[in-house]
Amino acid sequence: MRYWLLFWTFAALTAGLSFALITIVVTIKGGRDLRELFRGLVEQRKKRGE
Amino acid sequence: MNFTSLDWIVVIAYLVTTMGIGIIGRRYIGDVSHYLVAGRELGLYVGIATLAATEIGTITFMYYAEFGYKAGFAAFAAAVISGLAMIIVGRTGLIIHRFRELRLMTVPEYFEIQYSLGLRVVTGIIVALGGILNMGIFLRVEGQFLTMVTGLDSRYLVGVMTAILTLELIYTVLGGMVSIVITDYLQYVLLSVATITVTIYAVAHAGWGAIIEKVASTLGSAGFNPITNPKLGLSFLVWQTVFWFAIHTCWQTTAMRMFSTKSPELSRKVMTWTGFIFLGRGMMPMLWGIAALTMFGTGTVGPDGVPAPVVGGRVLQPLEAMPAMLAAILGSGARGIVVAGMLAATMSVNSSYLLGWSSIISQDIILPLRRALGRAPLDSRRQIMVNRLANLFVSLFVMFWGLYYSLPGAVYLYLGITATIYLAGTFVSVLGGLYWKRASTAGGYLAMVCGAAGAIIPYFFLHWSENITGLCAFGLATAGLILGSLLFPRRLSAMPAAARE
Repeated sequence: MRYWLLFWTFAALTAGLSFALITIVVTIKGGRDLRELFRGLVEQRKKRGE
Repeated sequence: MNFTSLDWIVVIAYLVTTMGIGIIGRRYIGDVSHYLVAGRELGLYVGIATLAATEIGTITFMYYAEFGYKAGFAAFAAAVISGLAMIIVGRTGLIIHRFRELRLMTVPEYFEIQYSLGLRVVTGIIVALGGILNMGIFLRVEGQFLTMVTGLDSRYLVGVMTAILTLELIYTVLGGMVSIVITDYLQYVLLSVATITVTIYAVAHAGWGAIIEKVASTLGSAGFNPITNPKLGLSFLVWQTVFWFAIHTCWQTTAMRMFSTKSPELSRKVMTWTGFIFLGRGMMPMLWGIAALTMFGTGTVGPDGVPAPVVGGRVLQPLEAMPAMLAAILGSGARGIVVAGMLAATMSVNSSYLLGWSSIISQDIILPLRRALGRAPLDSRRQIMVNRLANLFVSLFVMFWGLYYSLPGAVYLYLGITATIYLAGTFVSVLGGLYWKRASTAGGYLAMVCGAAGAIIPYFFLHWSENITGLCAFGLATAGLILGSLLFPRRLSAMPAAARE
């Protein structure tokens, strides 16, 4: 039981930290991705002559 | 009523902003590939945000918290399996790499490329059936959460469900995947803040030492060891491993994100990084459930072997323990942020699921049947219109099912079984089609039918446990594919051109 508890504590800490870190990176860099998405969609429409 | 004016202001500001941003997506819709897969223009970061937001909803928090309440730390095994399976799929590119190379828009579309048009339609019907039944309970559970946390009278449950559905339907119908991606980004940020905030609050209020003590005294070693836990055991671990590999590769809403990325390589990166988020997606809400058990688990021991939650003298269901805990521990303002975060999670999941299942109805059932009947193909605008009507149909069904269906057991396990109805056959047929040269159309048909029957009959009619039902469905689907392919081998002349290549 003790080893399982140690394992779950370690797993939960790793999961929580990864979750928080990835959220920070995605929040900062996601805006640029969205702008590129819009640009790409506009270019696709231009190519199709709309 | 638990909500103060400040809480309402936070929630209404969020809803207005989301709707405004969601409607902007309509401007960018040119053809059906924009509507369904955002023109395949998704980058890494927004890809992670939309994939994570799609699979993290209030329903996720509710069923994982209930699971944590009932199984203690042993429930963490399901979260670890889901995260690790996703990381492995991302690293190896299992199925998803080839799917993206084929430029698909739906999973059943692959069945026409590899097998036949008929099998695509049959798969589409089974996928839509399993998917919509799966989504059918979302609104009810989400409505329960919101009425518990805000303190609204439960008589308003139907009103809350209708309001949630209407808001997400508006922007999904108008802007399709583009609106969903934009709102998912905003919703991901908000739901992540809410998830982390609630985890800190829950552990701080219940106390780490008290949490461990409560699990040990209530469940003994079964609260920590998933192998000796009577609800879990080895059968559960094996089923979950197969199940999560199937989900990460063949679940329509997840696969649509892979189809929407800029390249196959990028789809793998999105999957790998989201795998780390999936570890927290499971464990954090399970921890909330365990904290709720610690704080409120004082009632009589029920058939699940855990005491019922008692709040203010009222005996609740284990599913309601987590929202009741949030109502009790969160202060004014924080409660508004958390509810806005949960609403964000709810809307991101539901909008993606509406689009996912309606795209199957339109692209894999209606349009192929028109072709089979010799009708002229629809232009892009008409295809979008069919998708929008399918969206409306799915919404109405979900509303009806949510109101009238009563859950037989734990939400997590119900969702697992309804997903297995189609995942068993689909996963096995896709794996066979990609990696086994002898997989034939007859094998594909048998796999789909055996997989669906293997989930429906044992669970709904024979009342077998979820673990055994899940294993039975995947086992039968595999047997169906192998037997069908060996008894009725594929003929090269009868195969679609793409599969011959």
